[in-house]
Amino acid sequence: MVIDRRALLIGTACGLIAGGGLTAHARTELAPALYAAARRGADGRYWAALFTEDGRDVNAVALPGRGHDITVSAIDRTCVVFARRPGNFAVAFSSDRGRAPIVFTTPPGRHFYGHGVFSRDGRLLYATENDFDGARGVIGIYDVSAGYRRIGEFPAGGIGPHDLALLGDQPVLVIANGGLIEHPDFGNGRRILNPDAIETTLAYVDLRTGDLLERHELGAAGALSLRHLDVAHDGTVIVGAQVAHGAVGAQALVYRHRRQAPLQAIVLPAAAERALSGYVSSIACDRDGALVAVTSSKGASAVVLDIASGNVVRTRTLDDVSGIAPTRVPAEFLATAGTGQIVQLGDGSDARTDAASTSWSWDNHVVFVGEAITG
Amino acid sequence: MSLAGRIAGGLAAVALIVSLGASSGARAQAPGAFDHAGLAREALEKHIIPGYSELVSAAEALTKTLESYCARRTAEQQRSMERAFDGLVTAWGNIEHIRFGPITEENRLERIFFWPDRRGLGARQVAQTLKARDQDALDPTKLAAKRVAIQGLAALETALFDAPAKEPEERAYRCAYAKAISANIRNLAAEVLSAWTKPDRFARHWLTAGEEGNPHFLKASETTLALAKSLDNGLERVRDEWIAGPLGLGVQRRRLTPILAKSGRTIRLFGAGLDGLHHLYMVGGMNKAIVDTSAAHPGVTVPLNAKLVEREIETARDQVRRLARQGKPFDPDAMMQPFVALGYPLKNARMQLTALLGLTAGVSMGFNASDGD
Repeated sequence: MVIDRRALLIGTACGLIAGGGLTAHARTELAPALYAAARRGADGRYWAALFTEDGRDVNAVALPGRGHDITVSAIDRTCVVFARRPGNFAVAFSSDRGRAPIVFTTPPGRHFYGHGVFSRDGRLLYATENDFDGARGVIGIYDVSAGYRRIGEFPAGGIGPHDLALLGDQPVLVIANGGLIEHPDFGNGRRILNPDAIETTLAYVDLRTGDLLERHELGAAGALSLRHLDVAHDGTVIVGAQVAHGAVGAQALVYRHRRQAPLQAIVLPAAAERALSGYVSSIACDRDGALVAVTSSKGASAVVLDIASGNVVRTRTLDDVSGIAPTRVPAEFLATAGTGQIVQLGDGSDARTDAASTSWSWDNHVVFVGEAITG
Repeated sequence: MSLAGRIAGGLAAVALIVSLGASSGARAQAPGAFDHAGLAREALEKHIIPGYSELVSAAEALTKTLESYCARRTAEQQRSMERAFDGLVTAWGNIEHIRFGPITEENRLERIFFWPDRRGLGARQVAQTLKARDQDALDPTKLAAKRVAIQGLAALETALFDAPAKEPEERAYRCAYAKAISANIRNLAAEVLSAWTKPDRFARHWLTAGEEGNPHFLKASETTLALAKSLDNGLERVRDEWIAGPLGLGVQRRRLTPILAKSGRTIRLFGAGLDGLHHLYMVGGMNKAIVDTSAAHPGVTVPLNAKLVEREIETARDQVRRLARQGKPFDPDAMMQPFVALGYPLKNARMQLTALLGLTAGVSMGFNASDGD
């Protein structure tokens, strides 16, 4: 089977890999797949790393604090890791160990929320940020060629913007606004200051103008915070929520959305709902965009769903699992855990395979970068 | 905080909640099963309620002392004030690791102690209050509605111990402001205590974890997790924030101002923090709950491992006590070596505790599970 290497360079949105399916058997004949994630070492220091699916480092950079998500440029595979909230640093790095990482920060009065995305041409970087004295969410814009100089911002269309993604090939950004007011001076920036007035939204913003195109509130929610999302081939956005306040189990945690339509809850069977324990840590579509996997570190589970029907395809347990990313194989995912485990979740009868057991505490997210360039 | 004081202070409050959770307390446990409900009750009765009771008492004592200190400042009054301030620092250090429940509501944690003051915001606001001699800040009720950073221990320390006031009016204002802050801390601590003791408030959720409709604790093990995180995060805070920060060994890699440096209470707070964590582990029931699972883990020396956690905390605590006995203020240069050495037992205690609680209680203090995003 011939795979176009360029076609394997994927961004954060799922379903950008072109071409036919790759079987698990065919994978073994290819160069290793590369992933990127933030992590903590046994000595308590924080890192971001590019690594192969079996846990071997290709490059790793030390971070000033705990990282969160990583976004990958579709042009040259530059990775940017963001500090988790309420951190204010980001670090750009690549697989080229000879290239010094670039560290950049938010301006005073802003902090990162841990997520960002490159523009399609790789020239700009958009990051979710907190204007904490103004209690509003913004999207910071950074000029990649100018050493990630911040050149502006626009409103995120809500409070507490967290994850974001480009919407297919449209000049549109889709943003999960968690709805939580937080401030670095309170509870290390992680205390919910509006527990009784959470307004979580899914917002669509025009990248050319910063105009808010659509904004969808989670009706009569109050307790939920929309946090992580991914976009399927056809523009369907899958969003995962966390119970921020109050009882667990009262509301659906996974939602499907298409533009101009209301948010649609994916109602899970009771067992799957329990497995998520009121908390979606991370979310990713598979390479074909037919399935979506959601993880819950609190529930120590990964649940794989059929995007079209919402049916549960499989559920796996894994202690402290959080990171989830598509592999090159359809219907298969790579999961990472705080315990150091790197696990492949495939579609066999018991497709859970321990890809690697490492000494790292893998942080909240993992992303598929592409195929390792060999020779 | 003395054990006797804690228990005595807590007995009256415990009587109020004795009917709560009786069924869960009496629930039959399989041999060696971790008794989450039992631990929740033990920690509440022997650690949490006595800890907040002590804080209320210490703040009351300081407020009373300040009345005479503000009226007539003799050497004896100065010593009394210093002793009462010591008492408040100790009482807060003993219970500050409880960072869930009522203390996190209405910004009470930051209102009692706004620290770290990362951007110097609190210091500026306190300076403005003192400069303007804001009369409303002298009324504890009005003070409680003002900015968070001017209400608590950090502001109190500035009012009592920062550069001496030059004029009598300034001195009088500072003293009256200190008295209002002390009364405010007392009120905040009393609110927290009330929520932990009244049957219809937070204590109900704490003692009925895992029962249908409990909005705070979905599973019985979640109270154990809350206590485990308090102990783990508390050990981490003492080591990585309070000690490593001023030594320049923290994440920032620059020397930060030591906590409570203006009053010279830095080492006192370190000691009080470790005393409180030791108390939570030994008296609050965690050690016992872990050891009581031994039958379920025949291949593991659970009591020995549980003892190791205690020993590691004691090693750190005893070292701080030795340094405190020298009577010198915290000096990052002169004390670098002994404080760096403190880091090892604190880290060991955390690692040992995490492994033990995973094994015996089935609670994961996982990297992501315990503090996700």
